[in-house]
Amino acid sequence: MELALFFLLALTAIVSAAGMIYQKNAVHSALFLILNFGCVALLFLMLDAPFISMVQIAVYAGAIMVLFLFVIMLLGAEQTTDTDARQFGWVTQAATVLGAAFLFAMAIPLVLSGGLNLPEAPGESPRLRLVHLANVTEPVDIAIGDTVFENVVINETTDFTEFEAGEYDVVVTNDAGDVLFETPLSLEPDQILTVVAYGEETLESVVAIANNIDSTADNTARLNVTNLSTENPLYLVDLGRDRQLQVSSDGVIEDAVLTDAIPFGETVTIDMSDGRYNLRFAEETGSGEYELTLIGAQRGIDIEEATEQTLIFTPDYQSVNDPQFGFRSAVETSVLPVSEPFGSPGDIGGLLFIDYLLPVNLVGFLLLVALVGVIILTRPEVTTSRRSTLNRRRKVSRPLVSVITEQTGRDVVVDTPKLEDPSGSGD
Amino acid sequence: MTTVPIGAFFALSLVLFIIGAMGVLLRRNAIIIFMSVELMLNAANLALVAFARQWGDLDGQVFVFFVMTVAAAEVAIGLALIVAIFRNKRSINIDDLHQMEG
Repeated sequence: MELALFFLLALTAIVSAAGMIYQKNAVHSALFLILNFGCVALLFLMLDAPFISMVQIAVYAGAIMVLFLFVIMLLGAEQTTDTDARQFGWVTQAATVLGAAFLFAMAIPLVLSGGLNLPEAPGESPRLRLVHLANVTEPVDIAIGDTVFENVVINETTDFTEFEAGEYDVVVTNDAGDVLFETPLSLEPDQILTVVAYGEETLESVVAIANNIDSTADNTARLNVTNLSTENPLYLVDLGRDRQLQVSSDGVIEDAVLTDAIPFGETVTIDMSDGRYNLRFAEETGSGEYELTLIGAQRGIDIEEATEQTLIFTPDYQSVNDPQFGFRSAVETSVLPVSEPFGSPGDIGGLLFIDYLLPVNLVGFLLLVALVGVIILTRPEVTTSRRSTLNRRRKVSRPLVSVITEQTGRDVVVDTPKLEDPSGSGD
Repeated sequence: MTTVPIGAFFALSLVLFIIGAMGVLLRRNAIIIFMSVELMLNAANLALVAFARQWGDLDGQVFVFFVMTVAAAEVAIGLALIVAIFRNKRSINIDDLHQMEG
């Protein structure tokens, strides 16, 4: 869909650019260029640059192109004289050859190398936190590489800690120094992990769960649900306000089931609206689609918007003899970053007026200089001052009658009273 | 993240730039040559915004903002020059403007 839109816009942009070049009428050229700028503005929108897109439409397609059209109309230059034989004919051929050569010089490496081999954006350092959910009463030390989390007790959650990407060994020791568990762990850039130590009798295993704490769309809440207890597929169900599972004849009502089936050791991420939920786990025991058995305790959770909660379903050790499993969501809530789209006007404004304040001022000064320059360039006296003063002086020196004759195109009847000839009167 | 590969934007930018360059070389109407220069600037802007998206870095978009501002100043000055030349020469065909070669 997005690809189709891109190709439509790209095709329109290229056709309108070519039309701009080939139009004989300069006004049509300008209109094609406006169309091209509009297409590029939409492409900017696709590239998450709404501010630049609006500036493109307002400044380019609006102000600059109106200026172009104004000058075209002012000079009466609609019909170009490009059809005449060119004085420098070789320029046309040279331009065509150069253009084709440039296109191929850029396109061939692109095609040969199979597209742009751009390096990816450098990832952030991986972060992880530890959760101790194993049935070990005394505190343990958990070492990840050289970093040691000391005296971690059951149900404790550590803060997120940054690590360098690489290979680590996770070693869990008790107070006596006995190694309880050891496992390798590889950290990659951008990873956010919750490392869970769990076990029904003793510390049986340590697993790393990937946490998704990117911002959600529309700032909804997010749950990361992990099954570390049952081999059967696990579901998270919302019991609703009456805390009763609405069971219809063929099983559980679908709305109550929040997650897909969670296999053992897997994590399922769901985005949900905020509110109060009465959550409970259900295990798929039968063969039918919704043959669910509720397990563990019910737990009411207030879920706020733009937060993440990690629910880990582990055996309940306080009632180990009881076949019922407990519901542990010992992991603290972490606040998600409020989702703000990339390239929002606020971000750009911050950059412009904090990091780029001096360039912004320089550009403003440049615009002022340009304004003064335009006024000086288009001052009428610049080109005609000498001639006009000469004309004015000559006109003044000529007799009034000749000026009127010149301007009206016909002789002025001047009634000058004729004096009587003094010589004739004497006869 | 957009699903269109960044190379597609770059290729489009390349094509638009070359069309603009051809316009500068092929046309003789000074105003249309000027519009072709604007097209080339715009193609460069498209590449800048595409790369800003690729690296998730807003500096590219800030740079586009500066390019647009300079382009606005340039258009004002350039059109004033064209008007001044038209007053003197009664033509904006660049082939007529060769008094410099004597």
